[in-house]
Amino acid sequence: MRTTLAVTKVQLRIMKNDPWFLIVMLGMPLVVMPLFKQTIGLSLVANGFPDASGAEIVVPGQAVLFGFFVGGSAGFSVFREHGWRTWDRLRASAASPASLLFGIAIPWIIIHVAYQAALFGAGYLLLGLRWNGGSPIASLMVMAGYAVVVIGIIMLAAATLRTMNQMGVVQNVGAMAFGGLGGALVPLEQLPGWAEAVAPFTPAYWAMEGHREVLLKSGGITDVLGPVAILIGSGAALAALAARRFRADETKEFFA
Amino acid sequence: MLVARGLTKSYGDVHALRGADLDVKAGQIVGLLGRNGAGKTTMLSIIAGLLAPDGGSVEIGGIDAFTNPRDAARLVGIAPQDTGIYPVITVRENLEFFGELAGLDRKARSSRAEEVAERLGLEQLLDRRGGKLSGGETRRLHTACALVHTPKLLMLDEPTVGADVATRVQVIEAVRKLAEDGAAVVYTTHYLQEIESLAAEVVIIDSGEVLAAGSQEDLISNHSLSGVRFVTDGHPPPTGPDFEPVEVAENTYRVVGDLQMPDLLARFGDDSSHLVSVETLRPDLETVFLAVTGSRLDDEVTA
Repeated sequence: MRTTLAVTKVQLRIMKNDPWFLIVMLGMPLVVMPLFKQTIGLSLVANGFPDASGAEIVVPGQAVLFGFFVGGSAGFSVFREHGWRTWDRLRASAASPASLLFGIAIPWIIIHVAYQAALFGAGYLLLGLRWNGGSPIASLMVMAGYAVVVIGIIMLAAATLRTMNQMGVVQNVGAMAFGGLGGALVPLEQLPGWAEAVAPFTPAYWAMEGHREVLLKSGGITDVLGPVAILIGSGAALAALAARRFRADETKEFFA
Repeated sequence: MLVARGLTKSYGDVHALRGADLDVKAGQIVGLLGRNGAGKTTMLSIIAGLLAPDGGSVEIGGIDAFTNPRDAARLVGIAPQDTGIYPVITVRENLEFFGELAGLDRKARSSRAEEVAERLGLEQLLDRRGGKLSGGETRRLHTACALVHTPKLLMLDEPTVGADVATRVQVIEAVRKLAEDGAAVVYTTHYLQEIESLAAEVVIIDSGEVLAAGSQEDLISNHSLSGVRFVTDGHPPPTGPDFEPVEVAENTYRVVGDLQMPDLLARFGDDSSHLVSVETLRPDLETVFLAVTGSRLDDEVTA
């Protein structure tokens, strides 16, 4: 626990001193959101949500989509330790391999939730996102669940893959495929039938289900328990698999 | 403090270690000498828990390092050959992190960070980012990170390779001080002067085997040789009953015995113009190494 905390703290310091990735990841959705808001709003109105502005989907959708990119950086953190040659120093310490892995993952879960919350805050201020009786706490629970499952996927990828390029592929393809199929880019109602059938196998789907409950149906905490349980349960299972698969003595290529 | 017995490690057909032993007592500095590929780094990696051996045992401070690796790791500080620091956080943050990782509380790691920084000439750089340091400063920080928790066993793998003179002096002083404070130190280097100035015990390893071990004085009196080493332009040297040059590298020969440069020139006679260079071998660690391994320390291992 102590060593996990030490690794978590140093990861947070690294991010604090090198925040440009997160700044860019905050800026890009803010550019994209206004472009899609009206179109998505019209689609929602046509599908039985007469008061919808479009922000109810576009804000969580972009948070979910770009959230996967942000989560991908947790995997890069593992590879970066190899690139900086600090990995062997960590391994030679009294820290267990699992505590190193969780020490890297935990700060990214915190950052991931903060990132999604920041986009929701920007949506509130700039795009007129309103909860309309829904629970902001329930939104936060969905964000936390999504953060756990994304970081779980990324940690399993980091435990399995050998090169940074492979990690980049998982990050990019995962974000676009999960986001697209899960209803983060366009409302689920607009997806073709086969995609709607596949959607529940993506974490984005359950995150969007939770957000739709809160933002479109004025849902509260109990209304999101199902999606949140699926997200956290899947995330925990993936994290356990990552810890089991993870071999600290495996060589990883930072520049390959 | 460190008792390693019968360490073996193979990579396919390549035997990196063949039953190597290493003993280091508290307060003792052991210089581990060997050519590139001799097995030094493999040995340190096994002792530090970075590499699983095929056989053997390691005890650190009485703790079996293979059955209780976490407990053993708390006693060890290692600076691997490749410098490993965090470039985007400060020198202080690097030091405090490795202190925290080793279990130091906030106050202890803060004061130890300042102590080791001062010892290694980094006290003015504590608030500078690791990535902004010069090569020598980076090397010193890399070493300092291994010292910060006052390890009982310190292992430095070529800590001064590529370093400037000031860095070498500071690293050697820091190592000496740590040993005076009771730490056991294993120090690998290609610079024999460093081993001499540390007054270290010496362990010579070659092809994965420990070939000799002892104090410098004992090794010099038991193993050292005198003679000459010479390089020709490709012309084969003369041979005779009491003159048997051994080719140690391409066109490079060694003759041991009570032989001086005029004797060599006399042996070559009219062919002395084929001599490119001649070096007299005197009894010292270099010739101990030569006598024990048949090669110079800076010769590459050929597979």
